[in-house]
Amino acid sequence: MAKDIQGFEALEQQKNDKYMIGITVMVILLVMTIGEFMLGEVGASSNGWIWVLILIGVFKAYMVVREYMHIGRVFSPDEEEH
Amino acid sequence: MKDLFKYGLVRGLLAMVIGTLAGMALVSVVRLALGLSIWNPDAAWTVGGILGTIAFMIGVGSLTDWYRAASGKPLGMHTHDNPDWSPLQRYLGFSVDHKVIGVQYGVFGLILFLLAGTFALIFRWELAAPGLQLFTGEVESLAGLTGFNTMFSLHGMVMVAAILLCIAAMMNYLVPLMIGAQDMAFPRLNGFSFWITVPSGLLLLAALPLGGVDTGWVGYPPLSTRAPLGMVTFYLGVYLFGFSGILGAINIIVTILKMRAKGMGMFKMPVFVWASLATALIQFAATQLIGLSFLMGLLQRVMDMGFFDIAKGGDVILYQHLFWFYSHPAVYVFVLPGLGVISEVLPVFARKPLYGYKWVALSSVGIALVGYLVWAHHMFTSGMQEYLRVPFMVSTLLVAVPTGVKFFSWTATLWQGKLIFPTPMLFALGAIMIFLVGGLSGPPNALVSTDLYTHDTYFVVGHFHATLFGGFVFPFMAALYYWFPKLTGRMYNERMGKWHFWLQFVGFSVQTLGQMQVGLLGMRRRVADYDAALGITTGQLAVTIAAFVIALGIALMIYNLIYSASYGEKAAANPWRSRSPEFQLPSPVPVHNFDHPIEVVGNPYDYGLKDSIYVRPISTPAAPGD
Amino acid sequence: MAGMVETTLPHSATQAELQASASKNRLGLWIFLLSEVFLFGGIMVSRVVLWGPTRPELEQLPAFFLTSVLLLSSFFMNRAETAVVYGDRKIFLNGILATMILGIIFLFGVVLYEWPFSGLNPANNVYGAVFFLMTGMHALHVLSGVIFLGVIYRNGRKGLYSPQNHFAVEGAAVYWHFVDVVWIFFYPAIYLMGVPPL
Repeated sequence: MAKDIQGFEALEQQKNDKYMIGITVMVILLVMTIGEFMLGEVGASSNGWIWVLILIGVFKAYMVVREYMHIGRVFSPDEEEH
Repeated sequence: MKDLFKYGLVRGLLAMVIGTLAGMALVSVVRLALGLSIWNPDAAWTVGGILGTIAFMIGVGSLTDWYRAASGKPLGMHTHDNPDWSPLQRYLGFSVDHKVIGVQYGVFGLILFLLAGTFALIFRWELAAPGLQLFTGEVESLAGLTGFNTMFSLHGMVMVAAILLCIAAMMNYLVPLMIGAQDMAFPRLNGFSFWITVPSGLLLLAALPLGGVDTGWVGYPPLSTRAPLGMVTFYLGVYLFGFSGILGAINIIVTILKMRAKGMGMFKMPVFVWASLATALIQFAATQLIGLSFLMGLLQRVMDMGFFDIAKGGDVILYQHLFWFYSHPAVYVFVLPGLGVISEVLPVFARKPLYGYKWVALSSVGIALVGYLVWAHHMFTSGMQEYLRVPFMVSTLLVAVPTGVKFFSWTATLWQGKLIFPTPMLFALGAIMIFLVGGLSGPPNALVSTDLYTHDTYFVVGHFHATLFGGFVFPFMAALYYWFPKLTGRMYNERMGKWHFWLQFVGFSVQTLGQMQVGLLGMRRRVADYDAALGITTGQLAVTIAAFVIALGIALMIYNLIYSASYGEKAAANPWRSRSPEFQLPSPVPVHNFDHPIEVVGNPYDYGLKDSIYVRPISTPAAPGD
Repeated sequence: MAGMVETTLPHSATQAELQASASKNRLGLWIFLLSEVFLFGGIMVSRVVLWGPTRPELEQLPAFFLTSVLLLSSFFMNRAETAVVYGDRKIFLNGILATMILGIIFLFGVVLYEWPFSGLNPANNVYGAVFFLMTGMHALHVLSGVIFLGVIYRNGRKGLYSPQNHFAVEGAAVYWHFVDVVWIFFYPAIYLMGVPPL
């Protein structure tokens, strides 16, 4: 019985960690988007900023593909890590 | 009359007519509301075609199961056709059995193949002599030069559609059998992929009554923006056809990666499965690009969006890049399954192991990957940036390396074999020889310096007809004869088969060499008339006669197949003494393929080695979940 | 499109069957998305060829707002998916609903604000043509994603998804995030990169 409660708490902890990851990724994405927006405002007349914008885009996409889309699951032989 | 509605095809066609009319009405109502003229044929046919296709898919029943799933009803883990259906209902309706779908693909493919061949015979008749023979009417009409242009354009594109259908037929029928699976990974998706080709094929053919297509199969703008109305359904038909290719390829990849029998590692698969995997790797991605280029062409026509209009800042070369990014790899889509068939058939009739199995398997993937990097060799004379020429020339020549691997393997497999020559073997050997002609005439087109002279001549026409006959037509027919006992449970007529081979082989040799010769003497592609002073009149006549000889051979094949399917002698389970899993099953193959799951215990091509077997049924009861 | 992946299973299916089926469906979905990468890649190439180092003069703040809305929707989608894995029914359903609403706001913003008020017309010049191609093709995918989510929400309320059997939710989530990733590249390509022509 006590073991069950322990397992339940561990699961609960795991779940909250996952929610937390979601929030962290969200914050990173929003901050970087604000950065992009600012770059667009100040850098509108210069093409040098394009590479920075591309890098930011690649990083944002990497975050989403890795943390939100769980690309790792496609390659993992065993299912669902819960 | 009411009885007819039990056939999915009939329901689909009726729904398509209704859907098309509804789409046209919708366009007219919207235009009226916007205060425009009520009838715009381009827009009406576009929207009508799209809604008609959706209606067809609903009518044929391909969306029913998904609709049920979406409304929360469980679908069941295992798919099967309605057991109450008659065979005709299964073949003319939405089936989820990969063998039925394979046959559906094959039959529709052969129908389009014959149609496209007929178009070729018509314009070959025109080219048999200088001056105009058939297309003497008004230039703008189908009886005039527009008719000639329509014939060769549709010959090209309908042939492409037919080839895609035929290779899909081979892959659908054979891949699950060869890897020991009960069905494809996504059976309903498989049915959907087939049935969407029917409305899109009809749209493509509708280009003929709608005034024709005069751009050639490539549909280059800016000519396509001024082409007759047929251009709209041509673009739309090919665009929707692309769905079939993409979804079918996804299905093949997942099936091969996830559903192999126990013990079948990647390098224990039959070579045809490797070829299918390579084909699917090209198809699933590259098809998007021809879709995009045709979509942009269509949008430019219907909505006046200026992608390829110089006056609006557009770029015509962009279309060619997008188009060839698919259309060159597409050639490998056409030939890779065929080359796989050759590698499959040769060891059986030489009674020897396939030489260099691993290299042959990987060469298919190699061709697929290099194939992505060569597209601009179609554009050496188009006015693209000159610095692109040499890199694309080098990458194009690189294709010869993995292709050469295949030739070495074939000759080494034949070397010192105990050859026998039934019809499939003849077709495989013919394919190798014709493909060699096609391959050797390739480098003159790949080298920039010579291509500047041969571009858009009949030399190119001869070259690619040789590659496609060697890489697709001959192997496909080898496959038809070779697996015919598995399909129908009966044997074809050997005598007629051999007649077919010799007619087609001799006819085609004359055709391709003749085309190359008239091309080098100055005959341009896509022209209805030529100057008798070029000295090519005899050559052109020979090509035309050869075309009709080939047609005779193919007519013989069609008769042979239809007749033997009902009256041929009963076939044994394994008439060719093949080791492949599908030949360990009774002929014809039972509905659920393998009653007992099989396991792989040997190599696929160890012919002539004593006591070696490739697959055997698992003797212990199957574990749950299999 | 993603709705074509076969998903719903009977409750009697064993755990092993469910896993095998989910693994097939997942691979199929990802290969489909890879195929879509080529479609959007082709559109991006067209943008680079046709616009080069220039871009149309567009209002910045609405675009920024819409981008943020789409990113937020991805967050709620992720939350909903995590919730269904752990059997948190309420968070799951609310997350799906929030994702849908944000998706619809994005859609309305593009179609009802950006299209009429951007000052661009598809038939005028190449700026209008590419702008409408990019936003239109993306909006079509958002629309299909919203429909897909609607199906998930309805079936979720009926209680069809469990921690063991929820591939449909995962599929919808992956598809939705993919549409978001496309916008991550389209937003700077349309609104930020390059200088407006004089």
